[in-house]
Amino acid sequence: MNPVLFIVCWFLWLFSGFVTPLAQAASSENHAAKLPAKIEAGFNEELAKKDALFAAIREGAADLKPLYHHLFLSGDSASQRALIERLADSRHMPSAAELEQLFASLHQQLDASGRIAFVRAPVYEPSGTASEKEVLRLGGFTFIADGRYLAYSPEIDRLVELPRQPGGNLLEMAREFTQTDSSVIAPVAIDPSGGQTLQLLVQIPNLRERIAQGGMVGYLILVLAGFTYVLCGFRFVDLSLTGKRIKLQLQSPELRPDNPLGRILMRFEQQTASDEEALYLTVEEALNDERGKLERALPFLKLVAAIAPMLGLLGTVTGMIETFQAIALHGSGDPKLMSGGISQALVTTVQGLVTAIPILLLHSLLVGKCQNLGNLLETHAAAALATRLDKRHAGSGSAQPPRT
Amino acid sequence: MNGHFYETVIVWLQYAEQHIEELIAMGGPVMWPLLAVSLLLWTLILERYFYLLHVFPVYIKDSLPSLRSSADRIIETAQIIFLLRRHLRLIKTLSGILPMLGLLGTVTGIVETFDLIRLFGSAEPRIVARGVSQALITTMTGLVLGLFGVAVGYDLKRRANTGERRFRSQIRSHE
Repeated sequence: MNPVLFIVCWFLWLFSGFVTPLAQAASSENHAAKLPAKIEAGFNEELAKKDALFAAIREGAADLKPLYHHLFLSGDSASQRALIERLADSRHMPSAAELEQLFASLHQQLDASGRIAFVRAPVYEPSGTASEKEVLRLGGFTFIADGRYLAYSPEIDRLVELPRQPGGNLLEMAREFTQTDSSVIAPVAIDPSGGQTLQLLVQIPNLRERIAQGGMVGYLILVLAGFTYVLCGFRFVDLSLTGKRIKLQLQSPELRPDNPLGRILMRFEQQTASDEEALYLTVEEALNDERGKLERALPFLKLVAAIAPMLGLLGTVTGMIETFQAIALHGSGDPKLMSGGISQALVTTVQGLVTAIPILLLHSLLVGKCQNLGNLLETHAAAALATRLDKRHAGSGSAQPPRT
Repeated sequence: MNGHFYETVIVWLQYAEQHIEELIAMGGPVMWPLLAVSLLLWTLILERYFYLLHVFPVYIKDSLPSLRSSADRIIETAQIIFLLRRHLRLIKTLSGILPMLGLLGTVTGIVETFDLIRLFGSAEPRIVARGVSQALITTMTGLVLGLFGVAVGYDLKRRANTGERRFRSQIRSHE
């Protein structure tokens, strides 16, 4: 055998021994790279599908987030909010258990928003003290505790008692509703906006704030009104008593000095002059005196009835001046800036009218009463005069025939 | 014919009642004093007409001859004049008060409008319209009722004056 050929053959063998494992390695490597690519494609496809699912879940959780923040949740609110936070987080992979929890929580909220139930919950009072109270929960709309309306405050995740409760009728309904039997249908106020309307409602000023809005002119009108009402009361009592005394005088034969009619008749009796003219004058004078006494303070009432609306008008004008000054300073962009002056203007007008209308009525009543009494006095004085003249004529008549 | 007529009247009354209810609901709280005052006014007016058209003529026909002395006659005259002019002043005042109440309603309606504007802003005209309708409806009601009162009060006063003149002439003829 040719040694050279042998060496070549050996080399070839040697190489072939090397080459085969190499080739094998190369081919196996090739194979390994090919197989995972297929799996990876599958993986990617699956991942893409799941990604869309996760995105949908995240989106849904983000949509639910404000709802969960503005709702007084039934059950453990902290863990439910934490769950929503986690699901809305983009780096979090939601698990099936979490989705189940979310579903359960949503179901619970839906269920609670359709029920009327008592819940024990901490309630903040306007003074700042918190206390655990039995809260009546009307769906997700309205909360009532101890007959007072509560509002849910999302910032502190607590129920807060409204610092000012709405009008008496609504409060009464709330109080009665908590006490009525659950099998009976009872009326109650529900705030469909979940407490926002109630909170706006209590911003409408109450009576004291309204009066304060009237300002100086408003107080002036009120003082005047109070004084005038007291005066009206006094005059009314006085005139009634005088009327009663005059009626007594009419029934009793002797003259009393405690009433106008008695005084007039007494003066008339004391008048001894037989002159007709003098008698007339006496009666006239006495009547005028008594009329003046009866009509005391009535012109003042009329004055107030005329002045009160004018004062209201004054308040209107000062309020308008304030408004226009506010406009000059800040411009007319914000209607709230102008509202102070406008409310002063309107409130004083209302006060002026509210003062004037009853005073007009009272003045009319008092003047009527006064005129009746005056007419009564006049009538009876005239009657007394007529009887006296009749008597004299009769006397002179009986005396005259012998003369003629 | 008659039954049909009554039916029409009843239907008309129902319409009127519904309309009045709506008016009161839209007019707000001032409608109640307005209604109370106008009710009082109309009661007084009806009482006056009853007296002037029914009681007074009968009285004049029947009870005049029984008066003898001049003192009696003076007292009787004064009483009759009092009865004739009774409530006339109150009727006048009430018909003066009605437009003022209407004005009060105007102002309270506007106050409410401004309250609502402050709460909800002026973007929604329907909110503003509520206060304004209150204001206008009370004004209208006050003016209409008050004007009726003024007209009827004038008529009553004229009738009372006529009655007084008639009574005086009769009493003179009896002397």
